[in-house]
Amino acid sequence: MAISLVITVILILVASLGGLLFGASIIFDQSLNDPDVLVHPAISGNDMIITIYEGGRVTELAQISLEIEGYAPVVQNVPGGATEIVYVGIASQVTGTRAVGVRGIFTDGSMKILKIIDFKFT
Amino acid sequence: MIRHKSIGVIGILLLLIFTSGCIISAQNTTQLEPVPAEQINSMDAALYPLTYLIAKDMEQACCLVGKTARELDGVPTDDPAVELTLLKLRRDIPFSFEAGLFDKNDTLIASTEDRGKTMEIGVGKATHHYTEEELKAAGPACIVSGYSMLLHGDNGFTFTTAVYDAQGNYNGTLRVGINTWSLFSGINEYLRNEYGYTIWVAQPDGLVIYDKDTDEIGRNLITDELYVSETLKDAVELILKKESGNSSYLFYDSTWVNSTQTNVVWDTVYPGYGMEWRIVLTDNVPAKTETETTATPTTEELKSFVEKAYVYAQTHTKEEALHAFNDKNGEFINGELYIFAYSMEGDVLSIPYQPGLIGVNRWIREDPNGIKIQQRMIARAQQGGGCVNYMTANPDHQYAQEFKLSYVMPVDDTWFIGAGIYVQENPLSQNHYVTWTKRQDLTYQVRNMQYLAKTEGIPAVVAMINDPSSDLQIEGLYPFSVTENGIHLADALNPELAGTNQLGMTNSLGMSIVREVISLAQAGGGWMYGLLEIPPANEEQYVLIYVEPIDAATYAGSLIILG
Repeated sequence: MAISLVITVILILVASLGGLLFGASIIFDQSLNDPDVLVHPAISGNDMIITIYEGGRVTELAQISLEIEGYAPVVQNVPGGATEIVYVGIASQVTGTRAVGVRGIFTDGSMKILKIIDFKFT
Repeated sequence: MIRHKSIGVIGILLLLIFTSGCIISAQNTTQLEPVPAEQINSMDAALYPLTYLIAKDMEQACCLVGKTARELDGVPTDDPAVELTLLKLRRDIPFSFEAGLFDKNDTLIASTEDRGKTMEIGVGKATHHYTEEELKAAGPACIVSGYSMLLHGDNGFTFTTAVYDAQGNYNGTLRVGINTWSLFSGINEYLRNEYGYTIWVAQPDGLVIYDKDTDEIGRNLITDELYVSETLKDAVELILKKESGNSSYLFYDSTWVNSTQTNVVWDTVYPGYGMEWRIVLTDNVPAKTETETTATPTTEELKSFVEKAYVYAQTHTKEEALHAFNDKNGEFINGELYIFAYSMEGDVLSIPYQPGLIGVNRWIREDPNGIKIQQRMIARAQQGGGCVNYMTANPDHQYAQEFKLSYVMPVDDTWFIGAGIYVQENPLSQNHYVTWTKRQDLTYQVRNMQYLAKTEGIPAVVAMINDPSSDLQIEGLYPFSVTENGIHLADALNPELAGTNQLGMTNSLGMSIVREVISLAQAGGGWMYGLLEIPPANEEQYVLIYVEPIDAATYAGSLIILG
């Protein structure tokens, strides 16, 4: 019960912050020099593939929130040891150039922006 | 006695030193060997039909420009007929970039679609100024400009002719920008594949307007430090002075390290008023070796190699990463794999085997079929990365042009990395080539759809694509039309795709051809390769695609199956 509550609160927080992420343009990208988790998003057809490489907190990564400018964030669980998270069909209606953010949600409930990049979907 | 022996040893050592010096010296100053008359005759026989062909192409294009100018005489620029007439002219000269009308002050007053967003009506200025007297002196011929950057941002030359008002007074000019790469690369491919020769083309002022190696285009044979060898200087002087002839010079071979004797024959083409071109045929094309190299890495191995470099780039400074990628003895060299890096503007940042290219901008670099290599890589990197196809010289096969599959990844919004493997099973790696007439047919068909969309409407074009017996069809070509949202309006190769959204369609390399097509069309159009399932067997085959926008939301393309 308590776990469900925590996850719900996390999801609400992620959704709220997701709007702020692109709206307020106050983005702190702390991933480049000493990444907690090094990730890379790429598009394949209508799918987005987030590849997880390495980082000091990679084992603590519990969820990933993929945030495409103009669309609501989508959170997926990260199974232990996973190197790839596929967001099936998430780009099916997405065209043009948009900012894409990948946010990590860790087992202690903390969150961190892992990647921000401008994407040309078409 | 011992003293005599010492003198003898010293003498032998000195002899060895001098001899070795002579050997080294001889290697660096190879003398030119005489060329048999039969070889010159054979080269001439290959060249002359082509110079005739180029001259005829120029004459026909010039006639079309002149004829169009007469159609535009006295027509107000806001008359819809002006745009249609310009579109038709652009369609009928497949190696053209754009066509535009300019007023007496060289300001652009009408043009074909503003694809590059650089040809602003009322603002854009012609790149060359001609007086009314000069235009009159040209008579019915067009004035041909020197090679330079044109108004829309690409490099080439222009045909210019006068336009008159309803009273017959001089009223401005009609100009058509010509793509020199498109004009000559197909001819070069024909020569290379059929005869083992290549061409380069220069203006009388020494400016190279075409060379198989894009990096040489725009250099000046007289002033550029690349062309300092004595034999080359002598040959260049002769070539620029005489209308035709033959000569030999020493120049770098494909390795850009060793010099080799290059034999040339040349002829002159007069493309129009005020210009002449030396068309120079060379014999320095190495024969492709049949010996196979070590096993080619798989696509997965290629991807892993690039990902390893990506992690390195993300966990080190840019300077450290580029230093590591440029290190020929470093960890980012593995057999035929090496890491290249470019800025998102096309500047070379890392290329370990050609360090002389670092800092060079390769934005306009094209492969023999017109694929703008760096621009396609950048577009792919901006999609988060993935595979890119193009043709380039394979050092393991005597620098023969072969099909390459590269995998690229963006490091951040300013630069990207990649590596590639040669795809031997691709027909373009097996001495198959797309003739320039086929490429011109593809361009014509796509531009015809553009023209017909304006005159008949897009639904009529869609109907023509779907009708195998319509006037639009050209044998062996498969036209299609797609919207900015990825909806297939029509597809001659796969008619059942009509009405479906194909953004999600990927091939075995993870490439979404439709996303690539839209991206290319939105950039103004151009050429790309694709790997598509070809009916009825639905086996994947490589295709060459040409695409252009019809309007802001609809794009037209056509493809040819390779092999």
